Amino acid sequence: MRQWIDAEVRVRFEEVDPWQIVWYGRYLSYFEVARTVLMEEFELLADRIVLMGYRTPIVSLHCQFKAPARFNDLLQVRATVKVPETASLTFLFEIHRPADEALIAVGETTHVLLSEEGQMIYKFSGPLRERIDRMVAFCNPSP
Amino acid sequence: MEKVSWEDIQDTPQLMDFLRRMIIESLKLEDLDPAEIQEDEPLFGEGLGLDSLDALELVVAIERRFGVVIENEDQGKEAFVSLTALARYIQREVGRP
Repeated sequence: MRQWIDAEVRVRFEEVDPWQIVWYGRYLSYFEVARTVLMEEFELLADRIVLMGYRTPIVSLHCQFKAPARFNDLLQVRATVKVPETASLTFLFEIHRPADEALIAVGETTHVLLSEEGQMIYKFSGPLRERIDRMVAFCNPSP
Repeated sequence: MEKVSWEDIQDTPQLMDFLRRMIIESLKLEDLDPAEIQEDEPLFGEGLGLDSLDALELVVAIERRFGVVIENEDQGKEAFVSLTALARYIQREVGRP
């Protein structure tokens, strides 16, 4: 069983489109709210990673929109990370609306690792690897 | 992919065939005929068209099968120029302490 980190988001007026539902691009920033909570827990926020001399750009993004969210909905956004098989990190996301137990969206982002000079890193190492290992172990506990 | 000993494939033609099959298997390109991977065609970009995530998969496959570690893009630039370059890189690095 995967362990997820949860965050809450309340839909703001400015996030709703003329159809009165959340505009599709907004869900990605909701994912980011939960990913930030997860990364902060393991000292892996973007600014900490920059201090270690790396960047972690997204190279792949998927999102499935299951049901519309509306103005003032309180949403539960969940994030976890898969066990990496290469020097990349794939995060999984779910957005739920607890009020009616609706699943709103599911998504996935994949990030790679670049050096300060923009060179791609093919293997995790050092303190960064230790922090990533801790986060991966938290999200994927042994049965 | 079947286990093979280095002695059986260290000669270039056998190694190239092994690498063609390894690329197809590790990148899940089963629709590709191994013969379509040309010896001197670039593996990335305009050649075979592999991307950065494919590079990471190949790095893991090469380390697993040959014990050869490619740490970063700088080393990868030499190894991933073409199939010929990859075979030469592996032949040079296998067994290096």
